[in-house]
This record gives sequence, C-alpha cells and structure tokens, in this order.
Amino acid sequence: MKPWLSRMAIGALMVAAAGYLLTPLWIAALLCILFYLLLEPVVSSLQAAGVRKDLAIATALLPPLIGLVYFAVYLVDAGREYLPQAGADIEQLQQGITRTIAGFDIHLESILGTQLQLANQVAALDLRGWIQPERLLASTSWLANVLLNLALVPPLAWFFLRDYQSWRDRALSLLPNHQFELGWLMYHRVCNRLQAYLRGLVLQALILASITSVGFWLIGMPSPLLLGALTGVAGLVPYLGPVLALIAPVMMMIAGPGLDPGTLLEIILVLAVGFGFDNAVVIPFMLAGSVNLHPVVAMVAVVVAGHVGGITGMVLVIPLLGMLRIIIETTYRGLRSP
Amino acid sequence: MSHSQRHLWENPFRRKDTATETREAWRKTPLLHDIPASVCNKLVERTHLRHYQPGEYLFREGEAGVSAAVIIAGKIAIQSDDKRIAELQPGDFFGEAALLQDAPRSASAIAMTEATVSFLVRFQLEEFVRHRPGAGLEIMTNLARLLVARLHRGNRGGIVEQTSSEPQAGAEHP
Repeated sequence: MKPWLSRMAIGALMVAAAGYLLTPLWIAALLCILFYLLLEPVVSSLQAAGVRKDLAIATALLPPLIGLVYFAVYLVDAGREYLPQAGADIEQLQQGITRTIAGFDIHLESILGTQLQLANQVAALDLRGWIQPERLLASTSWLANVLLNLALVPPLAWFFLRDYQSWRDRALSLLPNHQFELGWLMYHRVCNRLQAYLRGLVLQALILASITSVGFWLIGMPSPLLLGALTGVAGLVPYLGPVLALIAPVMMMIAGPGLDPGTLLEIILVLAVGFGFDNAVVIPFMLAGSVNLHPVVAMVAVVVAGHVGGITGMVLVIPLLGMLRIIIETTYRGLRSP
Repeated sequence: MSHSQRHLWENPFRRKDTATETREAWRKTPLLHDIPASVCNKLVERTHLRHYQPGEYLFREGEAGVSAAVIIAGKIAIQSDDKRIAELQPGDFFGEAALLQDAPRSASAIAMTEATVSFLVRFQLEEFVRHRPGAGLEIMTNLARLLVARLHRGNRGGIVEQTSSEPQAGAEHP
C-alpha cells in the first residue's frame, strides 16, 4: 500500500472514531459548525473595524444565543404541555387516516368491483403503541440530552470562533513536507465550497420556512410557524423535499378536520409557491454549481442515506458527497503533478 | 526603553532562538518592509517552520504553489528542467508569486544541505489582511512592488517570469 493511501485510511478511521464517540453531542457539534460558518464573516468584519477579537465574538454570538435560549425554553414548555395529550391526538390521527382510507376503499370498490380492505390494515397498525408518548414523557433522558447539547453550544461556539484557526494551523503543520502545500490547497478548496454551500442551505431553509409559514397562516392551518419550519428542513433534501414537506401539513389536516380536497389543494399551492420560489430564485443564485453531482447520483444517495441515517442522513449526504468529491479531485490532481 | 537602548543591552554572544531568527528573517524581506514590528510579529506567528534533509524537494516545478518562503538555515537550489538557476542562502525570500495566484511553480526548490525554511501560506495572509485591512494594504502594496520590480528586471533581461521561484535577498528592496 502506498504511504499516502495508508495515511488517508488512518485519517479516515480517526475521523470515523471521533464521529462515533461524539454521537451524543451531534446536535451541539452541528450547531457549533453552523454558528462558525455563519458568524465567522461577522467576526472578521468587526475585527477589521478595529473591535477586539473577544468582543467581536461576543457581539456576533449574542443575538443567535438569545434566539437559542428562547427556542430551548419554548421546546421545554411545549413538550411539557403537549406530551400528556399526544396520545389522544395520535389516536385521532389514526382514526382520521382509517376514515380516509375507508372512503378510498369504497371508491375503489365502485370502480374495480373488488374490496381491498386497506382500512382494516391501517386500523390494525398501532400508531399509539409505536410512538408511546407516555414513555417519551416518563423518560426524560432525551430531553436532558437535547438540553445538554443546547447548553454546550455557547461555550463550544465561543472556542470554535476564537481558536479554530490555530487548531487548523497546528493540524496542517503535521502534514509531511511534500504534502504541506497540497494539504493547504485541498483544505482551502474544500472549505470554500463547503462554506458557500452550507451558508446557502441555511438561507434556503430560512427563506422557504418564511414563505410557507406565511402561506400556512393565510390558509388557516394550525401552528403555521412549526409547519413552515418543518417545510424549511424538508426543503434541504434534494429532489424529495417537496414530497417530505407535504407529510406534516397533511397529517395535521387528517388529525384535525379530516381530509378535505379544498384544504389539500391549498396546502399544495402554498408548497408550490414556496418551492417554486426556491427553485427559480434561491437555488440558482445561492446554491448553483456549489456541489455538481449528477441528479441520478444525488437521488440514489439521498434514498440510501435516508434508509441508513433518516432525515439527518438525507440532509447531510449531498454536502458530504460534494466534500468527498472535492477531496478526491484535488488529491488526484496534486498526485499527478510531477 | 527605546529599541536602540534595548539593542545596546542585548547580549551579543547569546545564541538566538529559531523563533527570533524567523521573526528577523521575515522582517528583513521586502514583503514586510516598513511594516510595524508588532504587526510583523503577528503575521510571522502564522508562518510554518519546516525542516528538510539534503536532496529533499521543497516544491517541484509544475506543482500548485500556495506559499512564499524565507530560508532560516541551510542552502536551497532552484532548478528548472534539471538546470540549476540559483542557489539561495539564509534570509533569501522566494515563491512570493504564489501569495497572489493559484499558478503552478515555474521551478523546483531542493535542499542542498540540511535546511530550515519558514513558509507563509497565501490563505493565512488573506485572513490576516481581512482582519487588519490597514496593514494588509501595505503588505499587498509591497508585494505588488516586488512583482513589478521583477517584471522590470525580466523586461531588461528579456525574460519575464510568470511565477516566482527567483530569490529576493532579504536585505534587498526594490
């Protein structure tokens, strides 16, 4: 095995091991990285204006941290209020789905002349037992974990913003002489494209969430902000985003007044406007060309990642594949040079 | 105590450490000409000291260059197409064109003896300039002067170097 290949393999193994060990802290790590990517230009601008580094970091961190504390308090309150009644809501949702499928069954029977009995199969599903809200409420470990992650964000983000560059310099200094410049070049290219891409993704999610929140509010859906936020997250999944975004409002509609074609059409219209604006304006101007993956590769990757890592895997797979592609391309180009 | 007074009381027999040597070597380069010492020191903190064995390549012709270098100790040979162009001594500054653009190296640099070289990476210089635009402007102006002087020399000699591996003596200034 060539030395560079073994070094890369060792590096990949170390990254994988670190990733495995930090699994309980992935929310904090993800938020810190996002804070760093979004706030680093603000800190740089403040420093360029003559503000001391520590003060610049504090100034940049304060507004998002206030938002985070507000969100954490809201999460705890909402969880405490909602979880006791979640069981009844889930039962209502299951009844709503069964009613809708039964209607569909009757419709199919009148057309095809055969009874598929889909409603019985849906009724046999035990959604309440599957979700187990009481157990969720009784077990506070998940809530404690989320709160611990959120509590770790301010100090971690602070140290990230303050010390990241010196950590990076030390890490790149470990490269052997003949790979020193190539290492820096690779790092720079990967970072540039990845930063642009992730910043674009955050802005894309915010814009989509804002547009659809307003839309859901206008058509009278309950919790428009929550539905908008879920749409914003779903929009991060390439190609399958619009379908995923449809799930939450449709479920909410079924759980409430039941399936209504007029409301369904309104939901589709809101999503069409949001995703239309996203595809026509946001993606071409903010994300175009940042990760040039073939649509087939992207779609297969999203489906496989969804199977392995759920919604998180679906959201992260495209940036990770893009990063891998840039690393391989740059390494190959570097190794081919005399 | 002023700088001259401090200089007077320095022990002339005390051996300088590598960090001091690196700082002084960089401060004598045309890149940091007329830049305040405190700013120079902040920039030099970001440079990377690397050690080479005789015959080891610092970089090869055609490779992408991302850094300029100052020799702290040892001798470096610059060669193109297996032809030796120059021999560089401690204090010599070279590879500065890589601080501006992503172009391939126009020549190779090889350690002739055991050598210690300090590298300034373009991306770190860019970060430094972003954080300190005032000093950054002066450094970039120095870099532009350096490259223009090289262009004039090239025109007079009939050779225009696209990218640099030509040395600049530390004390020399265009």
